[in-house]
Amino acid sequence: MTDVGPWLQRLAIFCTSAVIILAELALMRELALRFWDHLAWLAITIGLLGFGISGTVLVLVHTFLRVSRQTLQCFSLIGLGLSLPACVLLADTIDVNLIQMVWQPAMMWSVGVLEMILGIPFLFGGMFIGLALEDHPDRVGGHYAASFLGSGIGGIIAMPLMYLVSPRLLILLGGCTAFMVALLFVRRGIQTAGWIISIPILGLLLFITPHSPRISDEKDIVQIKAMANSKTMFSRYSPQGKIELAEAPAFHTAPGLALNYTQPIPQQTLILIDGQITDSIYTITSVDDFAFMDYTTMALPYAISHIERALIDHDAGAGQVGLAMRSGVKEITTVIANGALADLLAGEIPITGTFIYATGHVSLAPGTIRRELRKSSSPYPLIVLPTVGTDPAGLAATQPESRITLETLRLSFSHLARGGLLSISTAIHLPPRESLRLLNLLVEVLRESGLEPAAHLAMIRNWATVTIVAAESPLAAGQLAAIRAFCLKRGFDLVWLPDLKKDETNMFHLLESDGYYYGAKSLVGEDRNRFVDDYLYDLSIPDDNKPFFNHFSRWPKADEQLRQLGRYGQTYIELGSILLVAALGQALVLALLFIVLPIIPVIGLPGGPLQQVTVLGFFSSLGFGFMLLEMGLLQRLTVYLAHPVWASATVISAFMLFGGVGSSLSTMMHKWYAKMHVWIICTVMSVSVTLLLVIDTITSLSEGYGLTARIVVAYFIIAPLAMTMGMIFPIGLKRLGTAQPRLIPWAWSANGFASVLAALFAQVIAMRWGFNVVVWSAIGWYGLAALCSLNLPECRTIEG
Amino acid sequence: MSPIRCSFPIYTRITIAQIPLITLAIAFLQLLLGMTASASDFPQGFPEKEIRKMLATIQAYGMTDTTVLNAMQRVPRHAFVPEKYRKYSYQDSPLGIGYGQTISQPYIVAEMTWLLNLTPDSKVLEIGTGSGYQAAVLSEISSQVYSIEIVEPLLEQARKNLTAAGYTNIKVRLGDGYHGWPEAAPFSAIIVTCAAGHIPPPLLDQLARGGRMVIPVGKRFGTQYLILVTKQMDGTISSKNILPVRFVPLVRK
Repeated sequence: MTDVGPWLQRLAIFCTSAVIILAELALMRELALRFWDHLAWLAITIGLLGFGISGTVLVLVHTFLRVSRQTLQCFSLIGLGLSLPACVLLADTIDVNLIQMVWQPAMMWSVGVLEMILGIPFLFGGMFIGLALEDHPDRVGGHYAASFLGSGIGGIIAMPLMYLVSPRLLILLGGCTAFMVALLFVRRGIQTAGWIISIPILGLLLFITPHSPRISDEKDIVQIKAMANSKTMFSRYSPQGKIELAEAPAFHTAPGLALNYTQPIPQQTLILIDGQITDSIYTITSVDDFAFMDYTTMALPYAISHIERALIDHDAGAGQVGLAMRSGVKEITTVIANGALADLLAGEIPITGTFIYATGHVSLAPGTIRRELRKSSSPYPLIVLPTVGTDPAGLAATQPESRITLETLRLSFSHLARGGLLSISTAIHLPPRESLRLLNLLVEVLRESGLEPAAHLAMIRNWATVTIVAAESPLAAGQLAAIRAFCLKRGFDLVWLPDLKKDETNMFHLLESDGYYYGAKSLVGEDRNRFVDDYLYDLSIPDDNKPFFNHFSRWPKADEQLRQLGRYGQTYIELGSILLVAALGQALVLALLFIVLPIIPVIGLPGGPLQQVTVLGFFSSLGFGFMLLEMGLLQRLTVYLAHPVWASATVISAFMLFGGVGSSLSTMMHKWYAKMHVWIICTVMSVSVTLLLVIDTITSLSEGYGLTARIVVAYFIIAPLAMTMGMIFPIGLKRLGTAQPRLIPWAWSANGFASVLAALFAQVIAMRWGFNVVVWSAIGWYGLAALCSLNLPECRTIEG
Repeated sequence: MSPIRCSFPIYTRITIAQIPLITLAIAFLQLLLGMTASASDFPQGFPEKEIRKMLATIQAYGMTDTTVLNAMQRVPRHAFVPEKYRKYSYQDSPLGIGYGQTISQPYIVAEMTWLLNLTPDSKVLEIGTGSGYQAAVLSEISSQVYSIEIVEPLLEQARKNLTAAGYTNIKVRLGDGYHGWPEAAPFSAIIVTCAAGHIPPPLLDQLARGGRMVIPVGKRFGTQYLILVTKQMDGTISSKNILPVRFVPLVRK
């Protein structure tokens, strides 16, 4: 092995850190592709767990093996290079069925096994970085900065790369890079031979290894591919998911079509994102082929008014655009959050049916409805919001849903023209949840606008869907008559009209007890607050601070909920919440077993009790504080950037990049560590509080900007915070390294343990109390760290 | 100033304190490996005890129809469950059978069968054969059972399952269930196990007057509730939600 100089060391650290972040983001995509988005966030826990365990492994390695640091670094990089492809391939063999967990809780262990396997590359990566940080204390700041900067750059380049290659290929390429970097640590002669031999071998391995994970059997694409005469016509990777277009003649969808509609519906090309059907493109020759859409509840706004201009969120379903055209709307703007999909629909792939987007009537606007409304100056006679609540199993409970928050609906309603309509649909789920929460949101928006909700709302249902329309003006008698005629002709049930009588309800699709009608009556009336407080499900209003539209469980009342639902309760368990709590419990066990416990008998706990408590308290507080702040901002900016992948890449890379700058700055400090430390921590706390006060203003002012501009704004939001946060840890290590080096393994262990738990705790806190509380709790942890830092072992060697 | 290296303390021998830790680590690894192993085979022979337990669970939901319960008692569910889930065969849960499909929760099978109001003379059409289990239960009550499956490997597996379990009177075929089985129509009962957001008009057309159609709505791997569609004698169609829960009132106490 060769002793590399500090700059070559930093180059290796930079590349490895970039590979690690690249692999983490690619893993996030890979998990979403193989399973669902709901498992993707585990990638962060997996990475942190691997890193946490690496500290422990280093302690054990140093204890039992006498090997030079360079040899170990080389070994770690080879381990990273080999384990990246090996572990993703091995993970393919682990059978995980999340839904089955309700009945077979032991299935959660499969998730645990998956986490452990996928955590191995991060373990090797963490070992390499950890070994590098064992260098001379004066170099540690520079190494730490290289690590941060590499991670930041890795996060930045991950996004464009995800347009070009599959997540799996990105992981494999990361493995190759790590392998190449390992050659920096061998003697020059071997190095050249290594390059010559490894390049063709790695190239061959890249070629023969499957570039896609084994897709879970529960995914729609598996079923579609097995259908007779089906074929995938197109597929493309993007950071927002793998887009596939598939033809499956036997697949017919027309959500909530009236039972008395007897005509055939057009053939369709299915749009799949990450293997799940998200929409269809109907094969039509004229807009009259959309006649079937007139027999869905979504046609309600066109029965109320003649509409000339509409803004439609594409996630409301492609059929909505056809319906609008067929209903005589002359000017339609449809917003699509998925830019790659927008390109396709704009005609990149010639499919019969996409021609409607090429007519002069329709304009495609990539972005979100909020961005479009911020940009737009003229009001709309009709705004159609996305169809939500299609996940009765509750897997989406933990996913922030930025499209349906109080702020989104408030903004939409304020952009309605005189007499304009705001329409939103949802799937029927019993007991009623999504539709009542939507109604409650609209009631709130109307009340905020000083209007009487009862007079402005219409709500109907059929056997599969519910549609609610909020009108800018009170619904007139003629409009009410039109709604009644519309429903009568199609066999739809009235749920709410200002003059609705009970005997007009529950006529066509019979419910044992019409919870929709009673719920609506209570929500628009004086009983609203009591009804919301007493209802079995949480109907509280989601906002940007707590945008969990699909989270309905009342956690403190879960036992009561299950008791009331009786023996059928298990089918109504909110799987997302269960998975989160299970993951938290599992992470606690794994972190204790693999991070904390192994080092107790090996090194004991050196130092006096006060010093021990101080060091453990300081580094675990930093772990909690850092991760809570990072996760809190990640969640908050998911709403702003409109997709978790954009938010993850932006927040992680910004934290790493600016944390690296802060880390570099910390190398310049040679005196006054204790005081400086406290001041820096207090600065982090002050910047966090300021951020809480201004973030809403900044994001709402810049919401109309394009994605790139919003990412830049997000960088500016994070920069001051990350820069100061990045200084704290290396100074702490420096103080400890010179005064009490035997406590360093404990510092890593405590920090790793806290980080693993904090990543999941952040989600729990956000769902229960909102993102602001996540940030406040991070501030609390930094306060504790400030107190502990006063008693950290002093850095006498350098100061003296 | 001489460079100061951070180094971890070095012990070269395993101490007594480390032994329980190593034992724990080995035990944990064994646990992990054990959990990933495939499920053990179901015991050979007709599992009467397990079936009785399953029926008791279904009865506890309030399903007491003896025709349905007897039919379910005679069908060995484990013969329709993939190897890896076989030990869960008589648990009241849906189980994956591949290709995004499930064998339904036994209670749901019982409820759907009951809702069809079958007699020995009923002619039943099933859309979505899946594993063949539901068709087997239907054929225990009705003599004429038709079943359509769109996924060829599933159909082949279902054929094998049905033959192995001794069901030879069920007509199954590969095809698009959307169009029904017009040659054999009308049907006194139709059961649709793969609804995609709407009820196919051809199926409504093939439902006999006075006939019943049952559709589970919701995600295949998630909460599903049943819808009963009835064609009245005058040809009009009505629908009704059949809640698998009896939790009125909905409000918290």
